[in-house]
Amino acid sequence: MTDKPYEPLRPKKGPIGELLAPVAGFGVTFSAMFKPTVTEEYPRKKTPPQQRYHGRHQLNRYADGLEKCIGCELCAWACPADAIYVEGGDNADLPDGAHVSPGERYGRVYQINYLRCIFCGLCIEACPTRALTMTNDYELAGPTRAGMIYEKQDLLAPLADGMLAAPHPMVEGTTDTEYYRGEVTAPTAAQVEWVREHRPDDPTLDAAAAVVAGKAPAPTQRKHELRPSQDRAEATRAAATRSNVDGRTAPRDGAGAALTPGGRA
Amino acid sequence: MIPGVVADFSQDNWITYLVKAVLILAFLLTSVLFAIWFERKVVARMQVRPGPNWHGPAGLLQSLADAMKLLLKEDMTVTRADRVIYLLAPMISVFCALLVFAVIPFGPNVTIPFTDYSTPAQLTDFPVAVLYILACAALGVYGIVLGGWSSGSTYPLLGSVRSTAQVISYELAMGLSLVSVFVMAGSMSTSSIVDSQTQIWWFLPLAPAFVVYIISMIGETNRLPFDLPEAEGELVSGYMTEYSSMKFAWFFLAEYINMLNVSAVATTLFLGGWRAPWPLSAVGDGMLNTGWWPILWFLAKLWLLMFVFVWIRGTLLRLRYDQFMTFGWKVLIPVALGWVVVLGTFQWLGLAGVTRTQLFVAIAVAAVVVFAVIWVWPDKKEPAGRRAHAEFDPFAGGYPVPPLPGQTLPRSRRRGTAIPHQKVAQSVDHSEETR
Amino acid sequence: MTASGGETLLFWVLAPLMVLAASGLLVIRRAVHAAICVMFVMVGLAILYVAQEAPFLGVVQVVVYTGAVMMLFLFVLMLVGVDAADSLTETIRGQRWIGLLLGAGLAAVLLSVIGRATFRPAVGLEAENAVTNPVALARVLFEDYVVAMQVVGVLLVTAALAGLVLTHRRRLGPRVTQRTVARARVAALVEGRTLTPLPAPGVYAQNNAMDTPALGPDGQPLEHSVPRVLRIRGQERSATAVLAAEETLVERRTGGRSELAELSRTAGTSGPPAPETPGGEEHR
Repeated sequence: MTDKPYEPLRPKKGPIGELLAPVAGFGVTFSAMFKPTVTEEYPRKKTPPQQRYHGRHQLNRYADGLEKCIGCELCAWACPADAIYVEGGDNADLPDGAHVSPGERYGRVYQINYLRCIFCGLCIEACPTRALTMTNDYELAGPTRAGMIYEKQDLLAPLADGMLAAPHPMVEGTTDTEYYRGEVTAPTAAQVEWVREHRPDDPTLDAAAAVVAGKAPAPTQRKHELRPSQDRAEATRAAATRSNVDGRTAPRDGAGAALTPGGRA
Repeated sequence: MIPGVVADFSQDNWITYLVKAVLILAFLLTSVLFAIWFERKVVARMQVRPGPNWHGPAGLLQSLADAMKLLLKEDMTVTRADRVIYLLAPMISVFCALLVFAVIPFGPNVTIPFTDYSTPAQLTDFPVAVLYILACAALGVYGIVLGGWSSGSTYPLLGSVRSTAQVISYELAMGLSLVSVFVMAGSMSTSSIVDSQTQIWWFLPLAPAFVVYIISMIGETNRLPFDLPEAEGELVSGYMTEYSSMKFAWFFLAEYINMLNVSAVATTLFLGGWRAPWPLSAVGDGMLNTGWWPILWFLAKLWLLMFVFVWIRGTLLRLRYDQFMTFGWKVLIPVALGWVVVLGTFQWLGLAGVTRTQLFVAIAVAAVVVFAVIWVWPDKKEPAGRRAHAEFDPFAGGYPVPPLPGQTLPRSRRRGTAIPHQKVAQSVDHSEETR
Repeated sequence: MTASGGETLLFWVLAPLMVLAASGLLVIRRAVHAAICVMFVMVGLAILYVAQEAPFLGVVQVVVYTGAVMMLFLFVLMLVGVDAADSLTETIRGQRWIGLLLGAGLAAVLLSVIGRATFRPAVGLEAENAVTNPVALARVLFEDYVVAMQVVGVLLVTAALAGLVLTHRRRLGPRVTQRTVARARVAALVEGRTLTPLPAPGVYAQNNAMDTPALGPDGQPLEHSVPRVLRIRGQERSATAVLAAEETLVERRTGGRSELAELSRTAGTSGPPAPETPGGEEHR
């Protein structure tokens, strides 16, 4: 501290600025009228959030359609809000050597309660197989409490084109280690054959067969897409139907559902 | 022809009056719908928001939707309310608000298209038209006061008491600022006042009166920053707290019509009424001051003032009640009164034969003298006490304090000297002991 | 000059209503209703003035009497809270009869005067109003009666000043402003007071009242969260009592033994004192 008198940090105004200082606020409001607005017009124009945004969870799959979740419950233990409930099951209990996930166990029951979830991402860090990740989906609201508990089929990543719906056997000659290393890149002919035998009506069969025959590229995981923007009429209609279903904002049917679970067919 | 009134109503009959009255009513009601949208939109833009944009193009139908909602809401009557007056109050408010536009000139004589029929674009006018406007405003307050009282509840009562005090105080300043216009125009009839502004609009020569009027008109209409009767932080909604549905809508309607009213009065008295602004008024030998054009100028000025209303609302904060009253009684009224005296003196000098040039020279000389005195006048001394306190006591009052402006911290004795290692170790030991 | 048809109609519509409102003033019990009656009469009068070619008088009647004087009356009525009907007991013996007698006398005088009056057409109105009504009025006031006007003005100013002087009180202490209050609060820090407002009383699962102290971050009850008056009166409830009452309630719900009487006893005002704060002795 010196003997210098107090000097404000902001620059001093000129004589005209001093004169107009009492009414300077009017200038602020007037000039603000010509600035672009900062409002996001949500249902009309859905703005994508930042890539890092913590949105709804997703249970991922391997390229052949098997689930990554092994039912280890580490996510549930990591959850500080106690929002996750997991029950594991043995793949050995499934008939005819079918697998839901590679390896010994799979997640039989998987629930996330979005009324409790605080979107901290600790479950993602806890997951050993990178089965659980977070999407950018922020449209999470619903009229009922029960509806806000998302089940496994709501959380599962949709089957990309060429993936074969689980359950089916693992790729022949592999263990979960190969899966984990990313060496499985597409369904194999044996898996397609198995599914054709057990579930001949499976809708994913044709695409998977095309991949096996080399007519289509190997499946890649689908990214989250924003649901289409809505005008007023659509928003009203959507709200009406939504509240009739079960209280989840995620559309349960048809085209708009980029991330609708695929294992529910 | 009415003596003392410029507008000529001699051709009018009761059908003309009826048509004009209906037109004014329709104009007011649609204007209110537009004004609500306008206000919300402008305030939103000032706050960098888009404002209403969902119903109709650019959200124009938003206020219509709100009105429909209010119509369909349940009409409640409070148990402790005084039923008759509770119902009467919003009616008084709206009724008095609707009366004012009867004497506002929208334009000069207009000819109805395809006929020879010519009539003033004004419902009526008489020698004391502006006083009549003040009277309507005075009666309109009864709506607020009685509404607040009859609700039988505390906050509305407080709101209405505030409103009474406010309107009585600000009406004085308003009346005084209007007096200077009467003096200059030599009339209290609205059409004559507009007629007197052919050369110059009164807001320039009567600038102080104009400023006082603008301030007091905001106080009179209970708008921000003077909306103390309905200050939601203190009084919930003030006098409207216990009102719902259509009765509430009436208060709302009255408030916006009153905004239009005072804006129209300001336009007529200070801003040249329906006269075209300067460069336009010279076009085509005053062609733009005849026929239907003036209505356009009048509306433009009216909405300019409405914009000022919204602008002020978007900029200023609500005053504290005592500041507000102090401002009204100790600043506005003395200024308005002083201005009337000054104006009276000038008029008297004019009557006594002093020419305008002499007057201007005298004013200029006086202004120069005043500026010189202000320039030479020594600056205000720093209060002696502050310098005396420059000795800084870091424990003034027994607890550590930062220096006040003008005080400086004493130079630290440890400044520039390194702390010896041993001393640090000692202090660590000490802290270990105390723990 | 005789009244036109419209004016006659206006009179016969307004006059009975005004008489009704005026007599309403006599019978109506609520003060505010009576004030509204007066207001109606005043506005009616103003309309009649305007109809009789005296627009200035009519408008001023509304501005001054209705707008200012009656408003002040109403203001006082509302502030004083004259809500219920006034008492009708007579304070002076025989007041009612004397009033009736005098009223009857006045009515007789008025009736006899009106009965003998002859109504001739108005004379000179047009000449007077030729330069407009307010100008003509101004000429009368400020030329013929200018001295009287000045005297009245001086009188009113004197009266206003007298009112100010009579109600003036000398300030005994220094003026209390927001700044002084703030300074005093800061200075009181030394005495152990807080700058911030006192903590609010406690909110518990079964109890949310002024008389129960809140719990501080250390779990101990904060005595000063209960209003001082309650503490002085000894009406404070201890937090432990409330918590105990809640526990008993839970027990009773789950088939426990305690009864309602016991519940009220434990929750009573004389609960056990809060446990001593763990002293500093345990810590070195």
